[in-house]
Amino acid sequence: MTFLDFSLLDHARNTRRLSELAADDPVILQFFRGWWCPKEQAFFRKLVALQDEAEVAYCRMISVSVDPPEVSAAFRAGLGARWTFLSDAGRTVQEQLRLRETTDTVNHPYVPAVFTLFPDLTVHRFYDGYWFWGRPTLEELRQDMRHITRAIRPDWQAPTP
Amino acid sequence: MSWCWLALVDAAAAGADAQARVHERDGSAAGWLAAWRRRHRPTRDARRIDARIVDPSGDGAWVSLVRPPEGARLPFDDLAVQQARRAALAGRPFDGVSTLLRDASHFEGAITVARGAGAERRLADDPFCRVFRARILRVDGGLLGRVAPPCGPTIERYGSAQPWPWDRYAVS
Repeated sequence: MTFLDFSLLDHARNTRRLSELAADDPVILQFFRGWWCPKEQAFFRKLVALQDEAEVAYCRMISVSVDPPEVSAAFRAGLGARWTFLSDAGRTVQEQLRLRETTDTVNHPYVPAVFTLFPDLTVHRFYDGYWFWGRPTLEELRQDMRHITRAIRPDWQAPTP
Repeated sequence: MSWCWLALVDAAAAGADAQARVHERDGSAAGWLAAWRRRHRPTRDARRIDARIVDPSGDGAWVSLVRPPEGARLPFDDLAVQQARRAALAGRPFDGVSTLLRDASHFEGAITVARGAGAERRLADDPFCRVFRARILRVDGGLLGRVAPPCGPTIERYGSAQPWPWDRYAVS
């Protein structure tokens, strides 16, 4: 299955297309409820820890919510995240992806979900994070990034004499 | 090409693919900033930059031009340079940023582009000016574009010949 190549505003109000953000690297694509959810805050602390590995491992991280760009930017800064946050304040992509959390009739947020993607946006794995334990552990994300990287890098096996 | 050459020169450069007059903060002339899209180095002081920030139709801008002092040779993988790249990703994005390279292993500075209200002041927070001293300069239109920030969180180069933040192995 190939993921929808959507376009949204990033935390700095640039229009970004998913395929452009992915470029040629594996992607961790996360949809989250919003800054106000304690479960998201707990999960983001894990992702922030993971970025210290991801920053040298040639992969991309993208987080999407219905928060406006300014809110996303503030949340991102507070977390110390160094990846792209996308804003679906109009909930257009949420509708296309059918990822609205129907049990929250106040905020109409994204249902928490994580997809690991190949650079061509082929879905490798999907994690339904409605219940916190449905979310990927960092080890699962590492394994996914290893799997995709091994598949796309022709020199995965180190060149030797 | 993923990179091009950039140099601050005294006068308009023959053969440059894009260039613009440069001014000090007090308005006095500071020469020309010129870019060349070619393989061989056009001048002794030219350095490789991420080609995406060069745009002949770009508006005027303020820049922070960070260069090492004469004789300084800092590895690109120095912890200070790594941290500057992290800070560039974490902070409010500028209109463009590129590290400067001469060879595959040394950090030769950076250029950071800002526009709009407070642009000159914002450049005081250019993360790369914590590595080496920065010159804050005003550049006329015709040289520097606006580039969306890198996806993040990668701080590594995609090959040692590529200036950061160029972000792919395949070169279109």
